[in-house]
Amino acid sequence: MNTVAKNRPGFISKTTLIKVIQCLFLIAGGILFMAPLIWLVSNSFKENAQIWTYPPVWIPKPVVFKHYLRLLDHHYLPMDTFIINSFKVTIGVLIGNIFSTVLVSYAFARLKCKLKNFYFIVLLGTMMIPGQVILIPVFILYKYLHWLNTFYALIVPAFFGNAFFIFLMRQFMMTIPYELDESALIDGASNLQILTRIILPLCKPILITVGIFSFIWTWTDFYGPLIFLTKMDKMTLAVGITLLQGQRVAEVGFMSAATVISVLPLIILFFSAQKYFVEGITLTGIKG
Amino acid sequence: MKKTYFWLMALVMLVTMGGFIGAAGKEVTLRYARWGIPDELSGTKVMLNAFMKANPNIKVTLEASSWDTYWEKLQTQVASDEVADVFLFDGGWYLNQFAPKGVLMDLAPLMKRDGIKKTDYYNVWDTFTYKNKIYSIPRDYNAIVMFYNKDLFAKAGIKDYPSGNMSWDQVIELAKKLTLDNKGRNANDPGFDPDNIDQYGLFVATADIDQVLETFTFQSGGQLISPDGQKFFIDSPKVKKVIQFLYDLTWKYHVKPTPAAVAKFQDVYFQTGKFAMVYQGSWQVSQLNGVTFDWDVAVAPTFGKKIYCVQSVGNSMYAKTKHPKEAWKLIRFLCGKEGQTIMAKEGDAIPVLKEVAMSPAFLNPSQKPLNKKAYFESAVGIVPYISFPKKGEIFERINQDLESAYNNKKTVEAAIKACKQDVERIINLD
Repeated sequence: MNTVAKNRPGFISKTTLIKVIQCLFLIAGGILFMAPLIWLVSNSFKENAQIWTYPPVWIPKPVVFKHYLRLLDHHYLPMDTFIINSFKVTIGVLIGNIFSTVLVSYAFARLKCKLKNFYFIVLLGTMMIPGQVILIPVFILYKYLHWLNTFYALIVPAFFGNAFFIFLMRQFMMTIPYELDESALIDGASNLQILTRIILPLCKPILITVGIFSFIWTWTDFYGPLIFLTKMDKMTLAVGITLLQGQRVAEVGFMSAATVISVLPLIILFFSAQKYFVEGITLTGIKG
Repeated sequence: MKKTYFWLMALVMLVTMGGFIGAAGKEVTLRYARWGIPDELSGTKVMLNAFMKANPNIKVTLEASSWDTYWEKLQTQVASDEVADVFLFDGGWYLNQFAPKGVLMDLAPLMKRDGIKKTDYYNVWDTFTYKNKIYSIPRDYNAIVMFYNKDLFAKAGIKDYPSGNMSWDQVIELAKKLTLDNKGRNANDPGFDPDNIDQYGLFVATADIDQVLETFTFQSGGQLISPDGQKFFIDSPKVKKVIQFLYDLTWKYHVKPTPAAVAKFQDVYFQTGKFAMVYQGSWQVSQLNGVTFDWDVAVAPTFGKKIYCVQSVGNSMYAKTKHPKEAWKLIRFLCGKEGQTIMAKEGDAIPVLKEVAMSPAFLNPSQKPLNKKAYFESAVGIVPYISFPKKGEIFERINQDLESAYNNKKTVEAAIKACKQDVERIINLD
């Protein structure tokens, strides 16, 4: 009966219909989420007067590049310095996070130690402390270490671990069969060898997930660079862009252009690592 | 032999180190912090470079933030004794918060020593004075004035431009003739359609309590709130009259857009060319580069007394700076004739030093507006621009409560009553 209906010309089968409806829903959702981004890009090419016209204009007319061109002017706003600083901090933090996360989560997942679970709870507990609460003590500490206005203030803490990343990776490592470790142990491997030869290659999806999270969070971090870095030549992009927001006037055209520049690396990163990223999230979600 | 060698080395090292320290002691590095957008910063950079050229032994590094983050940052820096040596300070909002903490240096003795008189500057000193001590030297100047679109006046055939001698009632009469619906009828025509207005006669930003409600109240001889922020007079007849006037602009005379129509303009009014007159701050001038119509400014209208909204921010010195002598030199430069002249030429801000404000460097007729003197004529009588506890919170509350009246969602009476209760609750809360 079903096959007959499917083959009859001019008759849409139930599954196709469902697919079409699904697609429409997804397209509608996609447009909804893309709209702010599209508006941002379109604003960056508009004359200031056109940005605020109502109803909103989607396609700039005329298309102007002056915002981008002006941002190339180092004396107007040192965007190049901001971008280089952001990359320095982001990559430093990325290395720190991967380094500390791998070691600490391996220890929590595989090694034996008294009170291990208690320590793990303490570690998770640190996630509950809001950054603002410890800001002033940390600031004074960095002052005595002479870390203010240096990237150490942002990068070094990453080498001491991030509770969320450690949690994420530990859960993932727990799902790797212990038999693999045992056979390596019988073959005479040390803990470090087990970690680098057996565990890490299997952790690729979660490593990439941690990497992406670390990159995005550091790249968009505002509070840390704002408080610890005060000199213009040390500012990161996220803080530098806010200079376009005045007390009484906002340079919306410039802000849009600068924001487009600042989200570009994130978009490229996300699309190029999307496959692993989704894999990492679903794997931890199902098994972790 | 070996021992002598060691002592000799030690001596050499000591001497060279001493030499380094001595040399380093001569050059001083100052930190200067301010908020501002790139256009404002570029003017400051020129000023700082000129200062460093004149004082080769002082190096100044600029630390810039946006307005919102500036104050957050300052608080952290105060807590950990890392404040910049000289920094821009808005006493009108923050003096009562930072002065009692001992963050700011009292500059009055230095002024007296160096013969700097208050009268050298326009009278904005209230903003910087707390318990008889002066905590900033004024740097720039802003007045709320009347911007008017000469082209729209010409189209309506009106030669009577706004002037400081006009009352608000006269301005309404002007505005009525300049408010046009989509068929070109003005607000005086019997067939006028208030639901389809194309061009407005007037805009007044009612959300800016200090510039509008407080200033208008002062003009009519009343007071909105006591200077210490403890007594609130919103239900006094004089304040009520002003609120009723602001309501009538929209709902009775139709010369000012309704809140729904305002939303379409997104804080950009005069530039659109759809407003004949806009009562707004002189800082908006920087936004008017490239507008296609002819315009000028005039001293704002009044309800009687010639009192206007004038605001200034100043440069302050960190009370615990290691280089007070050099810091004072920098402040004197920025707020003195040289710095103010550079500021006027760079278009960074309006100078507040009288000598420079009245000089061709600033009054330059090739740059609009022509009537720049209107800014300073507003300084004849000014609304005290001073901070008091919870000022930001109180003004925001007033704004929100009165908005329901300006939106026509509540009667003026009911909104005032609610506002009185809400604000007094804030004042009495500790």
